Amino acid sequence: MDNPEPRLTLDAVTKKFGGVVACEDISIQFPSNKIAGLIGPNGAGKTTLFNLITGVYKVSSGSIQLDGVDIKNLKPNQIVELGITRTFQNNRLFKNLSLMENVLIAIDKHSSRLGLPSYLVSTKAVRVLEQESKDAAVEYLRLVGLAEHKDKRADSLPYGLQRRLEIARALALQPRILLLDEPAAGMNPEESRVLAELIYEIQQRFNLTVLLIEHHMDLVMKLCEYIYVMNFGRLIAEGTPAEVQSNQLVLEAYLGKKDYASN
Amino acid sequence: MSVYIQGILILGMISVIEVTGMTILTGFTGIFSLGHASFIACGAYTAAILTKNFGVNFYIAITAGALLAGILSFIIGIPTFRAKLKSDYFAIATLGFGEAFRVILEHLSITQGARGLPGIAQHSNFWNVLIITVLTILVARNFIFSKYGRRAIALREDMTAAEMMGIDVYKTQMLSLFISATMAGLGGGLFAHYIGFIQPSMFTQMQSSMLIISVVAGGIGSITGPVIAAMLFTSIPEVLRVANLWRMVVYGAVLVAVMVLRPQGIMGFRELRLPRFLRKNESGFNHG
Repeated sequence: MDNPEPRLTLDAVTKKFGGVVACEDISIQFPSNKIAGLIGPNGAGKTTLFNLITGVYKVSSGSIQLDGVDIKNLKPNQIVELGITRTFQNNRLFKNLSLMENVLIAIDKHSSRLGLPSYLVSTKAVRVLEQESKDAAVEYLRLVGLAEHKDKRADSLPYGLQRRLEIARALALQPRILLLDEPAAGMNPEESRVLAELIYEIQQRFNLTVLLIEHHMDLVMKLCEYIYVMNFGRLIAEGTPAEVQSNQLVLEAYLGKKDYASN
Repeated sequence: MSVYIQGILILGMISVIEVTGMTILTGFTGIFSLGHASFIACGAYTAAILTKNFGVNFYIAITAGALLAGILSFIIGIPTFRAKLKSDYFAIATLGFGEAFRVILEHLSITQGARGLPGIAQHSNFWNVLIITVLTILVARNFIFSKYGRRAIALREDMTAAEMMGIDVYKTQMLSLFISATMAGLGGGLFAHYIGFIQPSMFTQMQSSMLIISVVAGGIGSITGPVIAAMLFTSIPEVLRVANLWRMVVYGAVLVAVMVLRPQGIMGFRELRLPRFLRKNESGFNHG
């Protein structure tokens, strides 16, 4: 990639849905080429923040910048073009298609050498290119350990493997920044441990900037070098795992105020 | 083969061409249109006027008719897709568009209004219609199995996820609409040069519904399913012509039977394929 160190910056980002403020005045400079975590109780606005970064929602005020360029008015597909991709909290796979086809759709973004007419008559060049794409797709599937299932339908996979497929699909877009929305949701401790290894491995291999939302604290504390904590739409704390764990505001957000407990 | 049987087959194949276009739009892109009769009419009138009034070569005329039908689709596609109209909203917009187009045809002098255009040379015959039908199906198949087709399928499956795959929703929708309108227009051109006479009342919303019905009955996500359905629905009313008005009842009953017994359509997500030993290096979509 031409820019090894993507700089993703949020500047006073606010999102309102009518009278409800989902994200308020959030300013973050994400660390490049590292894994950062975004945590907070349910309804804190974490997924909303992902939706704002990826262009699914439009920000109400403030700006989101990638390498100094404001991306807040771009469409989701244009933001993908710039190298930001994501996975979804509830898997959004192309359910009726095979694993291979799911990944191929992502790979197609980078295989635009030939125009529509050559595809309509299926020239030799097209067939060669298709084969290349398929080989590449298998590579991505192998990376997440799904190569042997490549011809199965996406919705025939167990939940945990579907999450892996989502990661493979996101990687096939060749992102610089990868946003993972609760990748370990619904997994048992063993599964989430294996997933953590996978996330670490791909981050190292592709030198990615990873931002992950997660409720499994052991996974977050183990993987993330830096953690942001949100509550009620606001950023209430940030720091290294150790700093965040001893932060009074964070403890209150998760456990309630101390005087409640003592009374 | 008797002329009568041949006639049914020709009409069936023309219907197959139109339905194949609809399959790309509805079956693979997930967009329902109720106004495709307007594209058929556009192709029919354009081709007929070109051969009749200007003495243009038949094949050039039907190609021009098909392309003009495709361009016509931009008029409805650009505003609706820009406004992100989905599912039933888009269907209603196309319904209005189709009716409006028919009324325009009734009032233009070049189309000779509601009286229609008589005396169109009968250039369409069994063989050229057959060849064009096969070519249309092949092009549709190549499209579906290409990256462009995959983008369309991604939209049908999950629009938000598709956008996250870097797919331009607007362009993809426009392309599917354009291709389906072009195929509808091609069918229209062949139809005009087979029947020899066209008038606006032939291109009503009934015909648009017929296309949708064939796609849904044949199987959304299949090319061969709708092709079979189109042939079936053209021939059933003909075969039952002896039963007079009852044929429409049987027609309806067959449709209801398909929906009850096979809600996924005749073929569902699958394709009718050659036996394994006749296939060479098959690399198609397997919808499982």
